[in-house]
Amino acid sequence: MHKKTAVICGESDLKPDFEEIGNNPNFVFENDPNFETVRLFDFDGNIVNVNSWLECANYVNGGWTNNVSDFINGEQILFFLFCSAIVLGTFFERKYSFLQRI
Amino acid sequence: MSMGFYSIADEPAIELHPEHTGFYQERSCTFSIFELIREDRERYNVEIFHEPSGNIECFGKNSWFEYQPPKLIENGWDRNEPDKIKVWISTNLNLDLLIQSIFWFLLFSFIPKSKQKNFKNILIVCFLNTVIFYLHLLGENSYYKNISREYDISLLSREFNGDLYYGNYFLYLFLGTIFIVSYLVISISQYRFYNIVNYIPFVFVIFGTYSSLNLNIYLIIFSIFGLFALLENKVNTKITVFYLLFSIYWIYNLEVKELNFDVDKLRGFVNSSQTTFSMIYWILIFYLTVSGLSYVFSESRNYFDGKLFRRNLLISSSLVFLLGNLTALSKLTNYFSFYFLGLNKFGMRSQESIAGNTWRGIAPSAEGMGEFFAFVILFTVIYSYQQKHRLHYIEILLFLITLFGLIRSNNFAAMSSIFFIILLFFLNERIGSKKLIIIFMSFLIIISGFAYSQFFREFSFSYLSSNILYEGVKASEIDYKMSINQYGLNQAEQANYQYILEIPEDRANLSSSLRFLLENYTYGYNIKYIPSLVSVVNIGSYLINRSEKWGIFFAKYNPSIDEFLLGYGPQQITHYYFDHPTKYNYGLFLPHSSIFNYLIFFGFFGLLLISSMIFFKFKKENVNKLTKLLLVFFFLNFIKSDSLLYLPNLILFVLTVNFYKFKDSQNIQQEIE
Repeated sequence: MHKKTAVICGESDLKPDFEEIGNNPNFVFENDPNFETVRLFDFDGNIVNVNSWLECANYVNGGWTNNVSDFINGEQILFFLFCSAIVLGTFFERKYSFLQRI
Repeated sequence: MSMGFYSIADEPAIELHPEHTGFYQERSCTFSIFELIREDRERYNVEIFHEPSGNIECFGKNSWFEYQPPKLIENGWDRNEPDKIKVWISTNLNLDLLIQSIFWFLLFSFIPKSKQKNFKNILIVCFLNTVIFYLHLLGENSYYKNISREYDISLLSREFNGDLYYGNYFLYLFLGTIFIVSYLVISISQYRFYNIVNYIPFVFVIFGTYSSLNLNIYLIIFSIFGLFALLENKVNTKITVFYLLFSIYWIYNLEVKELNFDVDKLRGFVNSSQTTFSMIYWILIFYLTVSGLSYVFSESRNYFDGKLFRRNLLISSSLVFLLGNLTALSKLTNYFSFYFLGLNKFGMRSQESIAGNTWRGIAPSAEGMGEFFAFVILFTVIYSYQQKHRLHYIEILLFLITLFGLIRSNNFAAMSSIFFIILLFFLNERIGSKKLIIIFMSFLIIISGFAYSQFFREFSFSYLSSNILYEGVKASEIDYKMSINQYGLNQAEQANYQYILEIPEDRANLSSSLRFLLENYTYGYNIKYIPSLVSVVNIGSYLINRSEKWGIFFAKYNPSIDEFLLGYGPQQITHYYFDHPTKYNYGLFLPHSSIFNYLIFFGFFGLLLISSMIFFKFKKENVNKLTKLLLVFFFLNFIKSDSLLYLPNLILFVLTVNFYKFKDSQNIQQEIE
């Protein structure tokens, strides 16, 4: 299951076909009384309350979230910075052996 | 520090004031710590904390703001704690791992270079170490789930449509950082490996705990050396076999539970969960760390410089004391010392002791710190005398600072133990062993008799001989309506242990250890006029102010026979905390004895094995006097302090156990002979 969906909507055994849901303009999400309503928002600040896991997963799959931090993937940025630092470090280490010098 | 350096907030920060609580609560992740400190007009007591669950983009910025009105100090009758403003600053797991590691490596590189050590299989060791710390992340999921929304341990997973999802940057970053950190440890240490031993005292200045992780840099460093020791077959085979057998039992006996133990000041060196993977991780990491330490000390035995070691002990103990005072002076220093020294707990925010707590400076425990100060004094005095190495006047100043630190830490056990050990040492040096024992024992008896007649005569023998039991019964959750006497005291409060033992077991709710002691005390074989072992321990506990703490320990410690004999596993404290309901199943009530801690971890057989191995090894190896005295000091203090729960104290203890190997100390021995 997609991790962000699990964090926002909870765990489920359902395996939804979002493409099919998106292509069906008459698709109606049925309310699940056992599902605690989740408030989601998109980048423009629009808000929606979802009442079933499937509806929640569908919105999350479309880029909606319940946490503003999800619009920026800090880990991804840091990961690429980290990789760049390693490449540069390896280059300088080979050329100047700075680990031996410090 | 702040990732927000590049961003300018839409509106400026305003004064840190209770009326502005709403303003700051609505604008989390907006202002850096520097902007906030600037707005502290010192009209209110502002305290800054860290919030480990922050996002990367909020690192170093405000997370939460709260006003705490004045509140009554617990058991303080009419004394109030002043009102305060609490501000939380976001930190992030991945960034902490990177930033703190880089900073500590920078400090590590200040260790002067020694002869080069050529390590083999470097990449294999880095890979194995990364796998071990992956186990940590996997096993302690309840801890990490709480502090990171991005927590995900799947290297590869699938999307709903079946596509592979390889965007788990949280995990890639974590594993990548551990791998690189391991590689850097090896790269930097291979030029200073033989000098590490001389700079060990600085582990008390740089505690090395990552601010948001349940991880300590020394575990990473020494587990690497442990892996090298294992690959080079330089580990003790007998210990390894015993440890393996114990490990099989610990894993087999483990009852997996989804829980999150609040590690608090033990962070970095205790298991927060009760899962198989976390158990395997702690079994491995404890073994590798101790093996790694022994490996470093054994390999560098010819490079130990006692004079340098003494100087470093004095510098680090003085630094601990001075930094402890400095953190109370400024909020920024307090925050940054917590972050960059890797403290388990924020340094004290005041110069004075608050609400009965002893002054502990930057250390998580006043006891542990006092023990370190006492160790420094003991080592300095005996080593300087034996080697006839005079102290430089700056070293004398550092010695005095350490002495003052010991007094401030108020660790009576450490102070009295070094007093007696130094006295014993000089009597032995001056008079000779036989006479010494007679004089010393007579002196001890007279002093004890005098102390008893002066201070403790108001208590009856009956009370003193059962005060741990009394405290233990008081701490137990007894679900039984007991009859009360004319003063309103129930049977437990009257110390009627026979009555307590007759209450049906399911309602008395006594732990197995407390029941055993009560039965032994009440029905056990008794020789007239000679106190039983239980009574002696009870009286002893009163004299060292441990009755209440040990009473709580016995109320909580509820092992089965095999758990008592073999323990729960290294750094496994969750069973002790949650398995048996008492009145103290909240907060961090530690056993207040390293012996009891290790009884929980390794069981009676484990304790017996550890002590007998040390004892027989020392008998065989003809260990020098300095090492013996330092070990006596440790064992005396382990009876009443939790210090072995803190990694720096364990490192110092392992060093002391290996002390006899050092060439420098062998010279001392030859000189004495």
